[in-house]
Amino acid sequence: MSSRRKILALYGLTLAGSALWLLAAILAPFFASRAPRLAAGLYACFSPFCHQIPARSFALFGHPLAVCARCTGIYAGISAGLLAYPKIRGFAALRLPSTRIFLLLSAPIALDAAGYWLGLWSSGNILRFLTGFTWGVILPYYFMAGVGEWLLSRNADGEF
Amino acid sequence: MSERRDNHLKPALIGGAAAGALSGLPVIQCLCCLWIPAGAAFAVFLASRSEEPVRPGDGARIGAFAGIAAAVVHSLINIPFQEVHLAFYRRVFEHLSEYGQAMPDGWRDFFSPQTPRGFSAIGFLLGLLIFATIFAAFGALGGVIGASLFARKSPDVRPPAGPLPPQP
Repeated sequence: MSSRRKILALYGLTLAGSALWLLAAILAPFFASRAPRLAAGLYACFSPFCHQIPARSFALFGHPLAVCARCTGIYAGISAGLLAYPKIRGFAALRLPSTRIFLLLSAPIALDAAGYWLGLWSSGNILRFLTGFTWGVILPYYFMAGVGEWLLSRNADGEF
Repeated sequence: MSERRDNHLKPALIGGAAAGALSGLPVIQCLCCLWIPAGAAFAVFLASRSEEPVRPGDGARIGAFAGIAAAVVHSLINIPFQEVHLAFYRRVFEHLSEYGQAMPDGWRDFFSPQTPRGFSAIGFLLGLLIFATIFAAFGALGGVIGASLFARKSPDVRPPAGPLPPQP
């Protein structure tokens, strides 16, 4: 398989995985009133990744999502970033985003979280979602560059 | 190459163990999904202190291994905390039932402390497999970010296609 095809395969898998992850978080409340064992499994699956406090989560079908508003924003941002990846970065080369852009997009979530922990303010779920989304958008660009290089270097070194 | 990978194993285990322990404790889950990428980035930071610079691909590998180590530690820590987590979910579902929508029959029994549960090796291994996969992905992400932040050389990675042009 050529390098370009490998990167395309990695992109497809990453996009499918992130979409499935986001969908599972959204569908957990759908199953809460229909299949409690499945819902409990989904909520448990997300428990290491989120505090799952209902008051800080969006509600759907009358139940909170499996992750909080900020995590929902991060996962939605990752999916959105991946959808825009072919247009913004393309598959001709693997390149990391600049640290300046990373810091710029990380600033809102860092400031919002710091303000909450310091007791300065408590933002609503919409703002939490937006700060998470802003940060999540840049994450797949790191993932694709790093994992892509790892994938290609495995062949170059004759490993595995 | 093998020596280089050995040099990266210890930082991956340290970062992964720290992330797994912190993500497994019920009280300090407030950082959400950031524990695993943060642990992986810490692992890369430790690896970057050695002689050779850590490239983004190395960061992804160190982070993925750190994620797998975190999944093992997290799953082991979760065994004694199983009742604490069940109590948490019981409270969540009680809260859900207050939303007004009808809950299915038997959901209270499912979360009841009296329901016999015990340790299931298959359940443990299945959970470990699921968490190892997800933690590895989160870890790889944190590792690459760590490599970009802590690398001492250019973070540009190699292009995927084609041989190099001939040298003049």
